[in-house]
Amino acid sequence: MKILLLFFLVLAGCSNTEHGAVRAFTVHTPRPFGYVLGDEIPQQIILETASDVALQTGALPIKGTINRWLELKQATWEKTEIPDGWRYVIDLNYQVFYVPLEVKMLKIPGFALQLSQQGKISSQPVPDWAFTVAPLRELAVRKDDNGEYMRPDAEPHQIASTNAQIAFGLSASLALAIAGYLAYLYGYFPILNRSNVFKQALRKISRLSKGDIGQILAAVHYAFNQLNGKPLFQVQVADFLSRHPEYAALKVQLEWFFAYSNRYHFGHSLVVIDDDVVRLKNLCQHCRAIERGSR
Amino acid sequence: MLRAIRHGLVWASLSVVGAISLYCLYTWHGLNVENATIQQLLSGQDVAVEQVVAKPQIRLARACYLKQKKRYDEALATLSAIMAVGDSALQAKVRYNLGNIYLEQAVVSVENNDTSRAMPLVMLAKQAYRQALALDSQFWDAKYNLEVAMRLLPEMERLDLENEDPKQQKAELWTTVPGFPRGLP
Amino acid sequence: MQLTDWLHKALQFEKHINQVVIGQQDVVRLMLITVFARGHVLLEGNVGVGKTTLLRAVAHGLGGGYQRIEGTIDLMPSDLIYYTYLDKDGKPRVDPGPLLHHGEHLATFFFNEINRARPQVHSLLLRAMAERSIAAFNQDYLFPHLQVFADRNRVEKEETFELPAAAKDRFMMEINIDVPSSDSVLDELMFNPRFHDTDQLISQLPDSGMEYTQLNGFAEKLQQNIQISAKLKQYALSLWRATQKPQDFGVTLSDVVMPQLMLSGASPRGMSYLIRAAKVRAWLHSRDYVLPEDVQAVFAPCMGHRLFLSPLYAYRHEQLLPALLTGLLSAVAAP
Repeated sequence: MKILLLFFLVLAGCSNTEHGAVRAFTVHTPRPFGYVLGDEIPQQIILETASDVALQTGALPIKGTINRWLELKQATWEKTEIPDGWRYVIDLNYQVFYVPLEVKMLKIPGFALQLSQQGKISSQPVPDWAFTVAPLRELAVRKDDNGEYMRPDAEPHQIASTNAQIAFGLSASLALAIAGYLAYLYGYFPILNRSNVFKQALRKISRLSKGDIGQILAAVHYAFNQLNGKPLFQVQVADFLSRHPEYAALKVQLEWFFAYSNRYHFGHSLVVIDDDVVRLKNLCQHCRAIERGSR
Repeated sequence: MLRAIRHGLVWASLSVVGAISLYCLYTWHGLNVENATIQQLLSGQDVAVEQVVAKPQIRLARACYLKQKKRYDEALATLSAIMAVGDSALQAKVRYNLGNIYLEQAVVSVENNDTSRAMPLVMLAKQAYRQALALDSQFWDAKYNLEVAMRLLPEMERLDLENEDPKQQKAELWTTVPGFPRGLP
Repeated sequence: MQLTDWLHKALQFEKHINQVVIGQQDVVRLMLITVFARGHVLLEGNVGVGKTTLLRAVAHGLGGGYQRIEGTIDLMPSDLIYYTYLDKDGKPRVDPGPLLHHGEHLATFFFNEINRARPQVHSLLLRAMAERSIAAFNQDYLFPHLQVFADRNRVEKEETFELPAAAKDRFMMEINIDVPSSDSVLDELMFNPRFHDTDQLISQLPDSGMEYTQLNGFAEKLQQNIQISAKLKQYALSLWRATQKPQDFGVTLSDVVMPQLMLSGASPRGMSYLIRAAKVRAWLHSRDYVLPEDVQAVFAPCMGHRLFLSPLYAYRHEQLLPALLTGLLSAVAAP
């Protein structure tokens, strides 16, 4: 509820209770002018009483129609303890349905708060509250095609689809991420995925024989280079094994491979025998087994 | 083995999330279709609406369309079916539109000097506007139209007559007859 | 003159030098490579890291004349060739300067702080380096066994003349000499009195058994006997291309637009020096063929001073160049 400028209508307490039953009594009300048909007017009553005094809450105004043009929309109260007494905060919310022809002063009727003190009933009046209401239209009648001019129908808003959009966006991106992970698992990202380099190498060299030793070596080298992230040379084998300890079991074979490759590529003409090819393929199969994680 | 389980799990979650995603897409599409329907109805083209299933917004739009075509009874039936549906903003609109239907008919009746028919219609309109304002006190169109209805049929405050000043009394007596004050009083 | 005989002597020689100049095994190895590849050397390092000791040890082991000269701003080319003075009879005398002092027996010439000398001096030295001869007193003097070592002072920038690119290119390697990092070596250097008297230290070195006059002939033989396979040629060629256009080989450095980085890559002479040095290294590892690792081992010292970055990145030279060299080596695959 929009709290308007609160005017303080402070009425000094102890109006009619000789025993000091009421310590303080305040009515907070908003501005007393500028209202139109349908406006809500909040009113807050704050009452402080001695500890042996009880507010007869049953006697408070109840929600509903006050008179022809006034509706009490909301009536709530709250009781809190203060030193040596009680503090009541009563919130009333009125709605005005008066249609004036010109600016007119109206009154919200007052009522009395019933207080009981040791079996005695006393009352604390809440005074009338006056305010002015104004009309919304001039006296002369405005006409349109349908006779009297009136405001058009209210059209429904578009149904918000933001939630559906967000839900779709989230689930779709999650699905994409999972699909990407699956693709990664299946080796569809050759650059990211270094877990199938030996699979490819094996595929490549399986059909090759002694005559294509250069291609076999190149394929195995390529696999190691991919795994290493950069070209791997004989001198770096120890370093490579420390970074990929899973291949440490193949140290001897790896060293043989690099020495063999160096002899083949850079040394004097090397006589290639079938056994070398078998050893190379074995090495590659071992590497593949390690890469797959089954060894 | 582990690998197989992991693959199975990933596939399963992919299908679940994919299904959710498709469902969301379907929902989104449905909302777009419904919004298109609302637009179509508001622009004055009729669309058959499933009275029971359709969203209150669509039925409200259809009621607007029906009223536009002066099919008041159908509009009233459509609106009364969604009186208690939707959030309070939508309910306020429903009541306001209901009030508009009554008021429009009342205005026509008054123009035709059919006062006996106009009176209950204005009463119904006022009631509907008041309900709309109770739901949303900042509903300015409802305030305005309620004032229109009030001017058409001012309320008598017989019990408080003595409180009103005599001049006002006179004015009210004069305006008690349904009709429009032509020019300034 | 067998390759293996010499290899044994060379390794023995290296061992002895390592006992004199401790904690600098890599530097000594590169030094040895330049000796057998007959290349001139740019030395880089702070004062007092043992450059002179190292050079004197090498010169002592190989024999031949050793001369050194300090680069200063008023050093004139003629100061290298002769100096004039009045003798005890009061007559003017002209004596040969440092370059001519040993005549054709000059084997090791150390130019300290070369960037303090004027460009005229540089050009004289360049001729001596390139042609191993100079013209003076109306005749040509030949120095067939000359190996020039030049030191660049990197600490002070005032009153220095940066070596022109052409001059740098004539040096086979630029060798960085750092202060040894190991504590035991530093401890030894500081507290062992053996290292306090350099003259005595050098004179204790046994003769290497390799005569400086034989080095040219041997180097020629070595170059002929160590083989280079087609695959290695391909590798060296790729490396060369990579120095021209590192971006084509996927080399990336942080904060660098790679196509704009290089002003010029390695020169053909640089590449031929690289291969010469690689061959010597292969020989030192008792192989008669060159492996990529030989090329890699000498790549940085042979190439570092030949790659020129564009002015845009020149100020980050010190930081970018090592990264670039490593990047090049790890971007080019051999087989």
